Amino acid sequence: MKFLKRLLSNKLAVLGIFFILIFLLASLFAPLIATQDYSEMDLYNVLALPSAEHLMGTDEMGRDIFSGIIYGARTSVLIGVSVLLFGGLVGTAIGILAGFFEGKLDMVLMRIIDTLMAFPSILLAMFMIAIIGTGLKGAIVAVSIATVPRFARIVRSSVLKTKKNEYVDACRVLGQSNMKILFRHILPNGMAPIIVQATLTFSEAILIISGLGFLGLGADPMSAEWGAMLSNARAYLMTKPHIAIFPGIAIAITVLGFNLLGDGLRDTLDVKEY
Amino acid sequence: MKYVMKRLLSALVVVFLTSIIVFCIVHLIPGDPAMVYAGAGAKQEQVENVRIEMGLDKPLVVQYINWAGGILQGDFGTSLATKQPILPVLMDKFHNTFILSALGIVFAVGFGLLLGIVSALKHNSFIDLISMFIAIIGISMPIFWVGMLLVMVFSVQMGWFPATGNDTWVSYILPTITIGMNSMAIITRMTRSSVLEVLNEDYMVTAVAKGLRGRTVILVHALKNAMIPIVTTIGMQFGYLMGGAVLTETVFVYPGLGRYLVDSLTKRDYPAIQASILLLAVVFVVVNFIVDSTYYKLDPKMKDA
Repeated sequence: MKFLKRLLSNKLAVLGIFFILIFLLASLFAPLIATQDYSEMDLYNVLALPSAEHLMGTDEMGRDIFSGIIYGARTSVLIGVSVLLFGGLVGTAIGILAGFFEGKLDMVLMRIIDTLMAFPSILLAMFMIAIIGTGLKGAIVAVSIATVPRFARIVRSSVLKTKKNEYVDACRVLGQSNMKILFRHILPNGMAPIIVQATLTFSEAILIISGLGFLGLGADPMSAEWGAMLSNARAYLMTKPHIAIFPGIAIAITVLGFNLLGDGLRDTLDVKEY
Repeated sequence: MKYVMKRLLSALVVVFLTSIIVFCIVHLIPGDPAMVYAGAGAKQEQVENVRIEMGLDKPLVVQYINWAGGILQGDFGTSLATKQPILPVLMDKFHNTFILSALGIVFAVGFGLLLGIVSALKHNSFIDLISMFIAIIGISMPIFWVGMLLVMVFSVQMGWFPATGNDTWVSYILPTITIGMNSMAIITRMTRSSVLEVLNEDYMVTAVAKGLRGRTVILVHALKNAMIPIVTTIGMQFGYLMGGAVLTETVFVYPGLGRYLVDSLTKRDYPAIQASILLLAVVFVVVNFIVDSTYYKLDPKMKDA
């Protein structure tokens, strides 16, 4: 409770939570908020300016941009959650193995992780796409793998640090099993940096996947994904700039929300950057 | 010196490992590599010819040695899309990307240091607030969207800069801002926090107490000590910048390595994909090595490492 109070006294973090709430509500109630189905085309009404009927206008196929953005929030939640599940879990597992058992295993794992860390996520993702192929699923898998190294690193140093506490020695003396010590004592106490990283990973996943969608390597251009929507808009920058504005704002606000919350959590939980 | 040698050795190992992984791309994708090289719709006979011609019937180790040996001699193979040797195109694209990234890093470092130092010195002031706002926005905006906005405002509305190409120096301005935006934001935040940290150290208080003038204190004491994390950040950013080049080059239809990689990915032109990923990877490793060595020079504590 004390923690929540401190977090809520951080104005920027509250702003972040506000943006995230809008984003989550939009994705949860998409069918209720959207004015029509995004796949519905109206070829007599393409590239229309914002109006009462189409709040943010229509795109080059006459699809309603506002509805696309609302449904796009769903896609983004799916992206963020899947990347966190895959990348976060695998990264955490590697970090635990390396940090808890140390020794040779740690050395080998960290060598690999360091090698991967040397490359920017978008390049790692593109490398994976070269193997898996393009598309949203491929992009999610690719970005998940690209987030593994940072998670592994953070979890490892968190485990290493928490392990040195005296209560851990006490548990050992009491004869508790490794598993119990790890999951009951070390992980809960070393959770703070992992939570901060998870928040930032969520926004990074959305950012990279929208980038891949923009490049035509991610989501199908026909689907409601913010990056893909911007990719279509590129051809009309000169004549109809409005179709490039709204999807970009949607990405920026969502990412900003998670970044502000992440910064706030970092300060509140007193996490040093790794 | 021992430290630098150690870093060099580990950099070489990374390059070696990367080359193996990049080599494996063609063997990891579903399907027969010979079929991939022969192209879609090739007859069985053609596929077999390709297999023998490219040595795909030999053991993987031999194939790797042939491939890596070729690259060491400057032979990156032939593009499947254009049937031309990859090397000249690759060098041309790399040259363009290098220029763009270098301009981007100059922009990012220049403005990032300036904003970071000013906001640290004027901690909690209006300027501090504004630069922190710029920084968090810069981190949150997708860089391709930044590029699109710049084009909309400065090319389409104002007509000040061209929206595409790399013909004149003016045409570099918008891409430079786009590619450098994110790094600038990160460098600003890093600089601000490390300068703030140094300002609270005892030796700063002593320096001020000694009666040193404001500017000397900042330049000589604060910056020198705040420089280590900043240099690390800058080095990392240069690598990330070249990754971000992909997006910037797409927005501005700029003929660089990133755009080439994306085109090759969409065309499934595997030799070109391998060549560009390998080249980008080697550049990251080289940059990281340089940063690590600089770090060593800057931090006397590293002398024993």
